[in-house]
Amino acid sequence: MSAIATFAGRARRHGSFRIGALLLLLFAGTALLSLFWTPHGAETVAMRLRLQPASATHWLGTDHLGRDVLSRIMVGAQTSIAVGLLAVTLGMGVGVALGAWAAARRGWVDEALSRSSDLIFAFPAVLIAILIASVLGASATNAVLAIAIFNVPVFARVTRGAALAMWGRDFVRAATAMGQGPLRITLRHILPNVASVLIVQATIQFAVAILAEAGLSYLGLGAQPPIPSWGRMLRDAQTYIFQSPELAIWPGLAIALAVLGLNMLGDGLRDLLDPRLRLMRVG
Amino acid sequence: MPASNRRQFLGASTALIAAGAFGPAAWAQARDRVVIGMSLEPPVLDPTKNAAAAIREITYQNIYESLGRIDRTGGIVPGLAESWTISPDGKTYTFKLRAGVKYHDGKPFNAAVAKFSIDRLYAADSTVPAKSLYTDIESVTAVDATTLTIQLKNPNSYFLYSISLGDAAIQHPDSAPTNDKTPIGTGPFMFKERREGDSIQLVKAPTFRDPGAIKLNTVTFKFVKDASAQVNALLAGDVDTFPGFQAPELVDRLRRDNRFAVVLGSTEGEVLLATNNGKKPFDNPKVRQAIAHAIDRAELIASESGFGTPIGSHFPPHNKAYVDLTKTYPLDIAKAKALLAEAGVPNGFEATLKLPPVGYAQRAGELMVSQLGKIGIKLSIVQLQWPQWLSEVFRERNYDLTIVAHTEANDLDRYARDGYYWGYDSAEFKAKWREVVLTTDFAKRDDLLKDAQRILARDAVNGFLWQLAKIGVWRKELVGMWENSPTPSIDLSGVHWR
Amino acid sequence: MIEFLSRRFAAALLTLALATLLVFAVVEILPGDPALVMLGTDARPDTLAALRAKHGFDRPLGERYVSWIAGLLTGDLGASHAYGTPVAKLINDRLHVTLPLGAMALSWATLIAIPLGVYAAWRHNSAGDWGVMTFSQLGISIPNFWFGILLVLLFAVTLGWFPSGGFPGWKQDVGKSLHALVLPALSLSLGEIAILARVTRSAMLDTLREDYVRTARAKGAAEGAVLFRHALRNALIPVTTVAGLIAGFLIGGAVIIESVFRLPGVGSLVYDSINNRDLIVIKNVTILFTALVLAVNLLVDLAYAVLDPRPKVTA
Repeated sequence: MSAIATFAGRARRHGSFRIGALLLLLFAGTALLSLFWTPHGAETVAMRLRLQPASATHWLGTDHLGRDVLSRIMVGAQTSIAVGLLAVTLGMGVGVALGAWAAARRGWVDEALSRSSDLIFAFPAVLIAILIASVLGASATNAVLAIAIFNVPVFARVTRGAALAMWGRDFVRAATAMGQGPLRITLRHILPNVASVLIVQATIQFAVAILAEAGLSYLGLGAQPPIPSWGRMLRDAQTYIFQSPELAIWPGLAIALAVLGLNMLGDGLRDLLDPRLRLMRVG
Repeated sequence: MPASNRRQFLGASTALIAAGAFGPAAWAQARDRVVIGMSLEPPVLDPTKNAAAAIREITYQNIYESLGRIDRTGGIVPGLAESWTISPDGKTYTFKLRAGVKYHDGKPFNAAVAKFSIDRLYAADSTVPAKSLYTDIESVTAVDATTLTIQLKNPNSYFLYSISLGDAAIQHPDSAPTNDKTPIGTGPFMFKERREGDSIQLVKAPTFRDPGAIKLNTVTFKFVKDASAQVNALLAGDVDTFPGFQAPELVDRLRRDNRFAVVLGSTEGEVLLATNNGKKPFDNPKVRQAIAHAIDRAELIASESGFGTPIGSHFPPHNKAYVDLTKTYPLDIAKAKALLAEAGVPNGFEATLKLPPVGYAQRAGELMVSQLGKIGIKLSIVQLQWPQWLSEVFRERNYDLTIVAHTEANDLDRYARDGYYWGYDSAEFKAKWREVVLTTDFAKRDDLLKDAQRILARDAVNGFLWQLAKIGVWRKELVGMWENSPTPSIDLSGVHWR
Repeated sequence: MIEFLSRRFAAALLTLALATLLVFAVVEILPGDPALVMLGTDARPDTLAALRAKHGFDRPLGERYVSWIAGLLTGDLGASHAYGTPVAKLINDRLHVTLPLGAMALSWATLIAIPLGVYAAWRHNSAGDWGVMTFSQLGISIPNFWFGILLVLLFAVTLGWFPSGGFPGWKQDVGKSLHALVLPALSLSLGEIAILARVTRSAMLDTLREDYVRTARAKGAAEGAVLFRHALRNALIPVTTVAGLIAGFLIGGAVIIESVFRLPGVGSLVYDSINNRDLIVIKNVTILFTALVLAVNLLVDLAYAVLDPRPKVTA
């Protein structure tokens, strides 16, 4: 209890954490709000109102089909969160399991894991994501898969590194001596102790995943229209750059703020949880 | 044929390179060269090896010639053949070939060469993309050096047109194998060099029979995929013309610049909401008619910034055999819902709309979701790359609805084909089309074509949306560019600077 | 050290070999028929079959894999299905755009980021430090393609100082070509500047706390000498590692940035090839990129070994 209180106290004074948390609240809050309310229908077409500048009824103006840009950005937050969160959860689930397994088993498992991580890291991520989306077909689900694949080795490596250190610790040795099996030790002793690393890494990966989702949907490989997604909005906006340049500003700003929030939150968490954490940033 | 419209007629034109910025000398020098912007790059440069329209745009009438040629009005005029006669039974064509024509490498053109080239089109082992246009040929005979006869299995009122297309380019047996990379033809321009992904350069051919008629010495085709980059290339003077400008939403920007002429012309491209007639519930004509009643063409054309002409059947409005059928199914939501109820789906249904990666399809796709949504048809969009569209939609017919432009001229025959991707199977239409093909009296054929259009409109085979406009942009001083696009060709033989 | 490097080299080769298998598999299962793409919708089944036979699409998988690898080993990359030209020529032409672009972006990243990082560490906790850190946070959060669009809006559409895209070609006009690379290189380097500045700063902070730096300062060495001769040299070790990683990301980033700016580089070549199912080009370019990333990583290892005199422990 008091540990949490101390943490909360320190967190409140940590600038980066505070800004990050605020931005994340704004981001998640917008997505949540858009489930119940948007100023206009995000998919309501009104050709007579196309490419309108900002006004009292359309705060951020309208797009090429006369749809309200603000509403689309709000709903776009759902897409970003859904794709990002799923991709990270999936990648983390598989990656943590593999990393923990490698640390517990060592030997060929460890070797195979590090070879295959090397392999995935050696590929240009964007290119492979495009290929994967081309093989599976363009959809939000397949964007999740393409992004998740790159999260697996990240979490596997981080988990393996942290877990290996844990296996050398006395209390783990004691547990081994007492005859506890590797699975039990991993679940009871190792994972709880590497959780903080994973939380921080997950925050950063969430940010990276949102960037990746934007990139894929910019290339037409993410969520399918008319479902709003920020990357796709940017793609459309580029066509109208001479008529309505502001269309290219808002979705990009939304992406940047969401990613910024998560990055700052991640940095803050790292400072608060363990300033010595070594993290990976793979984009 | 839809595949080529990804490589749609891109026009070509020329512009003075940074005219005015250089002195008078540069100006004078610039008057014999032109830089033509195209949005799609041709893969190979041989129309007998690949179906891409961009190949024909660059090579047809510039590098290669055919026996006849399609002129700017869509009419057929002499090409490598000076004249021809057709036997009374419509089955024997005798071509009188031009004498003294040379290929760019100096080799002579004669009837034997023509026979070689035409034999390749319909041969059993032919890999020519348009082979199906030429399968009515029974035999080809080189009677003497300048006389060629072609014997058909049955009369074909489109044969002269087909043999005049870029697909029937007359190639020399020696250069045919390498024409994909280094094309050699009889036309006014010869291939000089290519930078893949960037540009192709042609120069005036010294071997051409009438060099005085050709005013340009250097022609550069430059590939600029993105619409806003096309505008920039024009504004910066890097490109003199985009004969087939692809971004209607940016035309305003160009109209504001008085250096350019923006010329609207016609194309042979009908944009369709292509419908899988073989699949439930689209096999029910009432469902297709309901969709037709729900389509708001005015809104669709507005999203093309107003460029496009509404159509009510599969036929170009500028053709003299056209009948206006756009009022067959007026916009009427109540009527559409009633038809759906009659068809047994009063509450609508869910369906997918698979879209190819072209601007008009993307724009119209989102509108279609909204328009059909009003009568309870819930569409979900799936964006496909062209190869996927070709395999999944076109070949495997694994789709409900798609949006695509059919850009060939005289392409009504698709509705008479068995196993075509629309799954339309009408004995009535097939009989009508057979009549069209066999009727060599063109006035009579026009009447039959009108009947054919009416059958398609009545059956609401596809959603007939609009006829694509050709938006040509060129420097005002550039003369002789084609306003219309009767066939994929950026014919430069008559182009010059004022 | 030799042993360490040769082990790394062997591992890289093994990774590359696995990569060829994976790339081959992914490319083979790409949906779509290259023959249909070439011949279009009027193609008859017999013409399609003839074309597939001509290009060898109908040969067994194993045979095609072996002939591809044999080609790679002998330097024969085959001919593009779409263009008919040798893949080696295509890639070579496009590298003339992508390499200068990457080099420009990487050199800017280094030239801007290292001084920023050094400054921030030197003035730790000052407003300047805070500014650098904020810039760095923003830099990693902004999608580079959006930054590219913003640059186009400002410098091309509004001010007209730079072209908004396209590439005239070195042969045509060297000045104009360089000019055309400025905005893309800038958008490509933003994220890299941010990461590199951050890493430089924290590495500098670490070394500035070390004894020998304190000693140098105590002995009255000039501040510049302390910063650059003593501290930066050691800080360069982690910085080089990260710069190497970044080079890998630059390669990947080129795919999107070349698409934003319509540059005829390797990135857009592979992107177009995916869309045209020019399978042989996709395979070769992907492997080339992968080999480049691996080579850069090896170079980093080498640099590490050279810069860091301490004995190496292999992980």
